[in-house]
Amino acid sequence: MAVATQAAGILSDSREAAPLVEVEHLTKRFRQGRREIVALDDVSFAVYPGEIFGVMGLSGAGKSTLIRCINLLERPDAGRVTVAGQEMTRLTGRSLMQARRRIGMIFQHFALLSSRTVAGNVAFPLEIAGFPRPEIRRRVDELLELVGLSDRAAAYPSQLSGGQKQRVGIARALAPEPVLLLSDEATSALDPETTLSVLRLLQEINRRMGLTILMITHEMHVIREICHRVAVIDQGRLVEIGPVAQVFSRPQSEAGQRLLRAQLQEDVPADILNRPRDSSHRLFRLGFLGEVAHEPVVAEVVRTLPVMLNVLFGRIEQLGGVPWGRLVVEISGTPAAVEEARQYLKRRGVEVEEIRPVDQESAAVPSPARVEGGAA
Amino acid sequence: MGWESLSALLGPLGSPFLWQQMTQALKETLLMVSLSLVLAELGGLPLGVLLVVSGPGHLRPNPVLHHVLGIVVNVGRSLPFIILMVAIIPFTRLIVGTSIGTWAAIVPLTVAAIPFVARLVETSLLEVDPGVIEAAQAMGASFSQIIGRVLLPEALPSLIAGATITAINLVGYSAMAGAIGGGGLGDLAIRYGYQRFQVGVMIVTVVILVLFVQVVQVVGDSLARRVDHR
Repeated sequence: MAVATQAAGILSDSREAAPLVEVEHLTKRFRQGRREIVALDDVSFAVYPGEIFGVMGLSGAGKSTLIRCINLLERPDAGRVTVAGQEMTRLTGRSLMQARRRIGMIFQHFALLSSRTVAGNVAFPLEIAGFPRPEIRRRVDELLELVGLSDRAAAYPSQLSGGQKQRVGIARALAPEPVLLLSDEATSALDPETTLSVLRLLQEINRRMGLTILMITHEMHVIREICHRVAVIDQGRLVEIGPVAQVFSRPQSEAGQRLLRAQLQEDVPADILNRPRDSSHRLFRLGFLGEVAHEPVVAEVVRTLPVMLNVLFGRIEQLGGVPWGRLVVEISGTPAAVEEARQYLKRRGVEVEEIRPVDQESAAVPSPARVEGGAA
Repeated sequence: MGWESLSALLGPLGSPFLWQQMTQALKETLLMVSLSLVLAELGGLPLGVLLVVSGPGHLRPNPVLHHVLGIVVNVGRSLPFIILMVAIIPFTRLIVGTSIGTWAAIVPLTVAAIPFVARLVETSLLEVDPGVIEAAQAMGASFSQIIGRVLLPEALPSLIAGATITAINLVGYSAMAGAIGGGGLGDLAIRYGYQRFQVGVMIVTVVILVLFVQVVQVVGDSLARRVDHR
């Protein structure tokens, strides 16, 4: 799939192609002693060919169960999973094994065979699928080249860094030329820099081979970095789904807003969020998505209304390929003027969210100085 | 201790007959330990694999099989070797045609070592990262592929360490084989060293046994290290 078509599809949910993955009314319960835990509650969604689809949620939300239900590592109690036209939930035994060989998977803790070399690990799925030896050798060389580990072919996993291990995991998952790649918190055990390089690799694979990726993560920045669409899962329920730009800039669900707020707190120094405020000094988070980012809206406010506008924090990033500007501003003036400024911004298409004081607990934690968080 | 008593003590060591006996005994010990080790691994390895895969949450959970196997293994391990050796004489006779001699000793040694090996194998296989097993499942590996290409190779260093312990245990058990005419170094030590008061023979035999065990341990350790890439 070309990059252009991907970008065009980002802001709309309607797709012409048939879905590659279809999840319908998926339900899974676990018994824990006498208690029954509903890990997945009537979850339905579809993933389309060529997209990177993220599933986000706090730990314990049910994302892990969800991804394990896709390749039937976990058998759902109810509902259907279809991958590339094949109904996974109907398969057992040999036919399930065959179907799994078309779905690659990478793991948080890599799950490499310690008894095999890097090349041996990549060869593993090909061996069990009965590929002829020369072909295995050729594929392994190709894949190690792709992930940049040709020179470590004879090394054992214990001799590699975390990032290198995950690259081996990716090469292994790609070996049988899967139609879908599942990523189970694949970067959660890596440091930020390595995470970024692994994400870039996944993105490159998605672009070059058109491989569809379904990833679950609790890290918002992972989704922000490479996903096209995202679903938010909370307490086993899918509460929100849409293009990344949309979900991140104006989350509809309570869980989505909570996740975003957590991210904001990570981004904005606590002392800014804790500035004293009243009806004539109010703090707002402003979001500029796409078009509106190019217009001098903030300047217009100051020029037309009797208010002061103090920029406390600012950042521009890419959200699923769309520029997304974020500001934290303090607007001061008479209560009526401040309110009018808020309304004005809203009318101009800016996302406006008032920042309420953080509760005492989190406010008590001092935040280290951040480079990007300079007050204006 | 004066020179006289010392020479009395070491006197028998000068006899070529005794050295011949000792060489013979060493050969018998080697035969008993190595053969029963191989046979016990052949029996204990599958048993240990069954114990593991039938366990809760593993590849083929089967509570009934798991429990029955567990009980069988425990019974086998709780019998003192000397009792077991005598108790299974009819079985031994059925297998090797006699209940006396080195070959006859190999049967009870094997029978005693199988449950021991099974437990060690179980422990080794349980150490294998469940994430790796799950990854193999996700890649579409079959039951036998997971056992043959994941479980056993991943546990190999630990399995070798277990076999080393088994071999050393078998050296100890084989010393009791004298009770049924099994021969071996332990038997020699008892007959000459203890029953004939030839302390010198006792000391030499013990030294040989110590060296023997040492060699087994060193070889086992280095093998385990060679295959360990964890």
